[in-house]
Amino acid sequence: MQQLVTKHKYYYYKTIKGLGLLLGGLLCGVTLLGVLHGYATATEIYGISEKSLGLYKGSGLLFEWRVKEARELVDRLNRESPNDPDVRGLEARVLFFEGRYAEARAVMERNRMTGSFPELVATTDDATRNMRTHRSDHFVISWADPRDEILVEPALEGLEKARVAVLRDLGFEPEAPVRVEIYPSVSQFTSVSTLTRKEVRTSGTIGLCKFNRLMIASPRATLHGYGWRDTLSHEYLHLAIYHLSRGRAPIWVHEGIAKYLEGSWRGAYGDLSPSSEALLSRRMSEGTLISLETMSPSVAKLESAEDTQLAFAEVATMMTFLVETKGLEALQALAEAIGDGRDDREALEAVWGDSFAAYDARWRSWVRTQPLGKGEYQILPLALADEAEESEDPSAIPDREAENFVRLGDLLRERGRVHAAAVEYQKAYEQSPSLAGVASRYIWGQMAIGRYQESVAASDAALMIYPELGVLWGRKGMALLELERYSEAMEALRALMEINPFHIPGRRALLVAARHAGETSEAQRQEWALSLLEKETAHPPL
Amino acid sequence: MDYASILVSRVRTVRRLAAWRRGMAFASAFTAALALALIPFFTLPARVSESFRVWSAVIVLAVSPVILLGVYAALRRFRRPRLSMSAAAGLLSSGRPDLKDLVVSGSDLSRWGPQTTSERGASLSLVQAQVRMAAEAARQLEPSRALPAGELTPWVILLAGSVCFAAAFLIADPYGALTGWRAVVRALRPSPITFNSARYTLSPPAYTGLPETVIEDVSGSLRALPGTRVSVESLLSGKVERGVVLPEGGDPIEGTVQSDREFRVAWILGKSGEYRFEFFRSGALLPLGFTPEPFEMLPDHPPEATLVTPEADLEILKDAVVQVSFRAEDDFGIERAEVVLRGDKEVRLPVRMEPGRTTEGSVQILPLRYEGLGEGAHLSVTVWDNDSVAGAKAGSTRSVYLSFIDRRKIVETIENLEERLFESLVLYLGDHLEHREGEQTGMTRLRDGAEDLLRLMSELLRNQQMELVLESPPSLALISIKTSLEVVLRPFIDGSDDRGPIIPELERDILLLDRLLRNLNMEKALGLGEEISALQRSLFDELQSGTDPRRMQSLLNRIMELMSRMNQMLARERESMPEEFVNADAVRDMPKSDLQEALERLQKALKSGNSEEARKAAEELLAQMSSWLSALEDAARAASEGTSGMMLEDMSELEQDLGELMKGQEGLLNETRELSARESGPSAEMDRAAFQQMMKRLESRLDAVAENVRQNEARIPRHQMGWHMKPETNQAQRSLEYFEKRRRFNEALSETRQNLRSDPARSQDMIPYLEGAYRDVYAEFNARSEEASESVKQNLKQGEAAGQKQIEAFREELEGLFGKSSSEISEEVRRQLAGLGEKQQGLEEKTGEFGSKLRKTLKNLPFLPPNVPGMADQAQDAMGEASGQLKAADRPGALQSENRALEGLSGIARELQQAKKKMQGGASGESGFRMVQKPGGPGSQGQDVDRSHVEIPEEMEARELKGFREDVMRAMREGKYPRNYEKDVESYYEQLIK
Repeated sequence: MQQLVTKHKYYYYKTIKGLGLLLGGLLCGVTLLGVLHGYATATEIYGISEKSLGLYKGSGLLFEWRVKEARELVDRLNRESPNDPDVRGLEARVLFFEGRYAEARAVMERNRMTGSFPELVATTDDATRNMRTHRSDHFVISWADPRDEILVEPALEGLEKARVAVLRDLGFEPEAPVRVEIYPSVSQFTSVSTLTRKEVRTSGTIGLCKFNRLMIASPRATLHGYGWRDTLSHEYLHLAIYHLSRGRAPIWVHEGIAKYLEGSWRGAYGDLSPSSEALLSRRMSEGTLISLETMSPSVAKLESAEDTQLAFAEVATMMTFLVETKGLEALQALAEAIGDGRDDREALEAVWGDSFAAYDARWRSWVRTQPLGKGEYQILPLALADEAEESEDPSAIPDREAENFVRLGDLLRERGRVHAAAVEYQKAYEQSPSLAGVASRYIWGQMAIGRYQESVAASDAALMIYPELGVLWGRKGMALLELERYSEAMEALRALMEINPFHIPGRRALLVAARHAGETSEAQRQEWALSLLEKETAHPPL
Repeated sequence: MDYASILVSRVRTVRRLAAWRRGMAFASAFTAALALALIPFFTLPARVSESFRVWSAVIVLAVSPVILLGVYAALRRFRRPRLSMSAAAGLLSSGRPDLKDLVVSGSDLSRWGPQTTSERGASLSLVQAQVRMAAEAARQLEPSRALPAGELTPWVILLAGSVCFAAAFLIADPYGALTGWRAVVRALRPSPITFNSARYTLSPPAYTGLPETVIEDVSGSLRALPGTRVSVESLLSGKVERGVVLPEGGDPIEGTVQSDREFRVAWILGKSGEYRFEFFRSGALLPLGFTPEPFEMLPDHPPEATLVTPEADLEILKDAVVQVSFRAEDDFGIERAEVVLRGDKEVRLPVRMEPGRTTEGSVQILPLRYEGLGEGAHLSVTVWDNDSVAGAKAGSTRSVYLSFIDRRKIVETIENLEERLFESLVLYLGDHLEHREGEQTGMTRLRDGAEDLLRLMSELLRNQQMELVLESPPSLALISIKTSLEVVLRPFIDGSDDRGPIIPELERDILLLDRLLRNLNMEKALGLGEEISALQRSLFDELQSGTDPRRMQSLLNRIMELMSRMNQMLARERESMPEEFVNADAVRDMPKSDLQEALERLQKALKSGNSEEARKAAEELLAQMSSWLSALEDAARAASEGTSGMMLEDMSELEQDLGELMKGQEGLLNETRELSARESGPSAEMDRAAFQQMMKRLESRLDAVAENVRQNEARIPRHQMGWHMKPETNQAQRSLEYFEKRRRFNEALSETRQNLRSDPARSQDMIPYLEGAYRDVYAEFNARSEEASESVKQNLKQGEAAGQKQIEAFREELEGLFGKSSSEISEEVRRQLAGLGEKQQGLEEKTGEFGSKLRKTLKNLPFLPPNVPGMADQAQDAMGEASGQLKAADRPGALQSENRALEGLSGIARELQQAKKKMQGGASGESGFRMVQKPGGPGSQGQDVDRSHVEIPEEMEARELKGFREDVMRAMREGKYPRNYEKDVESYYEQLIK
């Protein structure tokens, strides 16, 4: 009997244990299923509504510029809660990211949404409402001013090449066509970009990648133009880095990679202008580099054009150094590591294989070994067309003696005394040949008195220092044209167009050179562009 | 035949006679009674006493009833009542009783007419027959017989007798009769009325604040202010029923009479004069027993006001605030005051002040606020007193004239001037730069161009109104440019082919003018800002003081218009403003939208008349505008200071370098002196007193030599000396040469004297120089006295010999004291002197470098005259000489050269100082190139302006200056340095800039 009882007790406990396990398993399974099933079940457990979670998720997707997923989510939320104001708000944001500004605005107005974001949407809608659009396979370009149409073809060409390069170098390809907006003026650009005019002027930030699209101010909005195709490529790179890093990359990574690769569409990597090199060299020796923290949240917010240029030089060389030591793939790895959740230092350390401090030290040493320019080169700030003088020669002349001569030359030139002006410009050049404004004027002066060879030689010398200064290319081109060296002239003038495509005399010269060189298609292109530029309101078909 | 009429006529005749006789009798009786009673009464009182008069009155009273009885009797006697027709008919027929009835009845019937006859029922024919019979009967009767005349005789006699009686009295004493008559009349008249215990109460008008005055014993005229309430209370001497006061030419003023004799009246005094009293009783005017005192008006004087500020006429900028203050006093009180501006229109501005007898008030006015005043306005203050009676009287202060200087006009004027000049300079520079060497026509053209340029400059400077701005650095710069251009262009115009200095000078001047013009444009923009600011403050103040917002619209419109202009100017003319200014954030980032918003808000509030909202909006706009304008001012200041700051920096650097050179030179000079002193000392054998005596003697020898030269100099004819000749003339050249020799003599003498006092032995070294200089001076004397008389020549000769003797004696005595001259110096000293020579040479090289730096920097220093590098060259040359002399152990020579070098460097230091002063501003003391200074400086409240003129050098003066300077420069190059000339040049510049 006792045994029977013991045996029964044994089986009893066993059964109980088994049942308990079964129940526990069932519970776990149910819970697991619930978790695997999705947030809905989890939210029911934790008391958060599905809608709230959806909105949260939607915002998160938008933050990462995962617009397609955000669209799917908001469509679902709309089906579930069609008239919910929060859902409508999310939808408005998605619409904005999709570039459907008018619809976004309408949704916001209907829902009486107020604040800075609705204002931005309204401003953007106003600025883009009358833009014309052209699509390629991967890009959608919009522009407002008819004259900016001349940028479209070259822009697309550059962007497509950039896309190929970025795919190759960073492994990124956008899911949908990328929107590119060309704003006709700095005012419009700043109104949609959250930058201030002062920031644009000081930092030279004339392009932006934000809200899943690329924005630039037309080169027409600046006095001397700028390397706008490189800028488009640069902004496209920001798009890529943003996606790769899921919006988490700090500014130095963004700018470093973008700066390093911005010329990749044309086969150039890690290009730095001589003035940037000299600046980096000098500031490094002075111990006044810009820290990575100071660069945040944006280089556009730095105090001066010099600081901005230095910041770019620093981060670009950091990437150059990284690539040289770890290969080009290190860039992608860095961005993705950040996208995976690591902070920037950790990510770099993971790629570099050592501490950040070690990397920094090695980089500095490496910079010191580089053959950087050491001269007193001038930083050329961005001159906005609507607030600067009409002269295309840079106005800032930091050397007083040279400035005086330049001023005298300008005064004589304004009064048609070109020979006299040339004399004064020569005096300035003898004083300070490495200053951009001096060199450009000297070159003009030499041309004015028919000394084209000297003009070309001086241009070459100046372009060694300031390859980004369009006026030098233009004058070189025209001097070469006078010397009947048409192919070289075309090369120089094409370089001018890369910087200032709205330079009408330069275009005319390019047209002449192309005709003389027998380059018919080029000549036709220039004829078309000139007809557009000179008519201003023409809308010839592409 | 009308028998009734005949009958009636007869009866009426009787009636008339009867009445006449009655009247006659009555008149006789009355006359007699009167004559008898009254004549004595009339006449006697003249001779008798008063008591008799009384008795006479009694008698008359007693006699009167008798007379009256007599009259009554007479009346009774002849009292026949007016006879009726019947009675008259009866009397007519009294002599024929038989006809009485017929006549009586007939007269009665004669008055019946047909109607009465018919009414009475009588027969008309019977009545007519009766009447006829009565008439015929009456014809027989005589009326005169009915009344015999004899009855009148006694009465006629009585009448005649009383008339004779009266006549006798009157003839006997006509005067007495007259007097008596008067007495009777007087007695019949009522008694004059007088005041017993009259009381005058004078209550001045309330506005005077004066107390009431009560006068009880009035004597003399009464004095009171117009508007004084006069009340009179009095007890009268007689009864009256009514009393009035009659002002002269005015309406009567009724008084009140109580208890027949208490009289009261009151009136407001309006004017001076008599105020007569009239009293009435029973409607009759009573005589007045007194003459009321006249009233004399006291004047209420108009107030007097004195203008405290402004003290005199002012020239002010229209956007300047003028402080107006005044004092006023009045005999009773000042009620209100106004500032009056009379220009093309009149503006009156009330002034807040405390009313009172004396008061002060002040207010700030902004002329800009009042459009239409024109180019100036007379300013005065008018005050009103508180006279509420005659009306407030006004008093005004003297007026001062405010001339409004339109800042913009001044700036425009200067700008025009400078632009014209600027253009000419630039084009002329172009001409020079483009000129091909060797091209003669080009040179001619350039020379003509130079002339034109100088002419233009003179003309422009002369013709423009520059008084206000001549104190400012830009104006001084213009004058400086003119002077410098003269110096470099004149030789070229005169034929020199050297264009070397021209281009740098043109470049320098163009750059300076360019800076000035840019600053001018900047000033124009800022000037608008200041006007806006002033108007805004005015608007805000007016809103604060409660002015109706709707009336502020025009002011706001002006502000908006000015802001728009300023905006346009900053946007469109930025290339003609200093770069530092246009690149400043305040200019680039003009808060247009914020300001526009604030303006619109204000406009809305003003239109709606919402004062509170308008005030807030105005305050906000004012704050924003002030902040932005302040940032603009900072940018402008930075731009100006940047320009001038660089110049000042250059100058400071030069000054520093120069300071080191001077220090070095001075050190060398002292060392040289020290070395010289070491080699000599007084003889140990001579005692102190004797030594002193010897020194005195030596000193007197030097005095004698000086006097000798002075006296003989006076002998030379003036014209031979070439005093005050123009620098270009040959005579002047000669005089220059003489001056140089004279200077050297003076120097040698002075040095010798100095050495004698400080280091007597060393003075021996100076003797050769003194001798040499002395001989040179006399050589000049001799050369210039060729035309002089023989006696003059003889005197000169003797004088020369005498002086020479003195010098010889001087030498001998010194040698006797110290032994031979210290020309034999020790080797040690020679070595040390050679060492100093090396140092001097080093300093010479540094001075050369300094001169090059000066030349290079000259372009940036417009206030530095172009000859300053030349001065450095001179100093360098002197140093070179000193170096050689030191190495040759020529101490005196070295000392002289070292001194000359030091003087040269000092001259440069002075020029730098002056240039710095000019740079650093005029009246305001602000640095930079601010053009139009507010009179008295920034923040001025409209003070007087120094309107003294500055002499602008004329062409002639410039040419003189040029010649002047040429001589100086040539002399300096030759190692001669006429000290006087240097001072003259210096003082010329000083005069120029004062």
